[in-house]
Amino acid sequence: MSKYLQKLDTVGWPLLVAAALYYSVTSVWDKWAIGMALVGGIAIVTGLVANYKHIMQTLGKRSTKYLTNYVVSVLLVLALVVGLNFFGQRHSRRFDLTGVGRFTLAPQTTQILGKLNKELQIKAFFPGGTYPPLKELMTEFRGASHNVRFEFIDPDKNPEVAKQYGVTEYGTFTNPFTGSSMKSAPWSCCMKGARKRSRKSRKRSKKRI
Amino acid sequence: MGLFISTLTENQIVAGLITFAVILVLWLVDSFSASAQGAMRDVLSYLSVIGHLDDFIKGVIDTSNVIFYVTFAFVGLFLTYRSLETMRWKS
Repeated sequence: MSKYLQKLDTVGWPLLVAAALYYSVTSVWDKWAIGMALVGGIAIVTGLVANYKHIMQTLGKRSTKYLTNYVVSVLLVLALVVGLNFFGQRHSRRFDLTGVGRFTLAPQTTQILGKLNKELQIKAFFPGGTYPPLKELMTEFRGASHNVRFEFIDPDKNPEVAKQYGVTEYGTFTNPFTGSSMKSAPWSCCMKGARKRSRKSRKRSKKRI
Repeated sequence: MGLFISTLTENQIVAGLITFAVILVLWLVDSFSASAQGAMRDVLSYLSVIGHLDDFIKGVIDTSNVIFYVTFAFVGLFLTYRSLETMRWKS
């Protein structure tokens, strides 16, 4: 009898995995998922209790202690690295080394973003679900204020979202203040470098005249 | 990462091939992120090794990118160290 009980944990693990897979597909904890998870859990616990002596013998071995030490140290380092990256991502600093400050926001833009006291949700509808120049700008916006949220949406893949915002053309944005859609926005004026460049080009055109 | 994989096998060709496969996955993970949704999308795009290089190419130093590369190298070296130590107590 105890021979069979000792093998119960090997039956329990596949049942638990099956329950997790079933839940990941259906997203509902129905009677099947709960049943499989419960039976799996009971089988594992019973198997562990039946194997108690054997487990204690294995834990006393030198190699097991080394292995535990190895696994714990790796997990600790991974947790530390994940935490560091999370913190680094949340509190990142950007240093623009370009001559004209091409990737630096204009002081006025930084000031406005700094005053944001509620979340600003921007949805941009572009083919393929991305547009690198705007993505760069949005990254700068998010660096200036954590209240800025942006999302690129491919209108071909998500027609229902496009319909919801009344988008009929590529390159349309949702107005974060009114919620309506707008075709174009003066994004370029937000950058420090763009202002300098436009001033220079104006001067050049005046000289030509 | 290649150093760590080299410690797992005695055969250089196998180590080279596995390293190539891992680097390929880290390179393509950005493309996979496009089809993912929600938090998974953010995590996958953050893991992209190439994606963190874009800012450096433009001339922008972002501390989060520096942290990513430094910690990535650190994890590889740490795993190599632990793997070599394991070899010592196994033999």
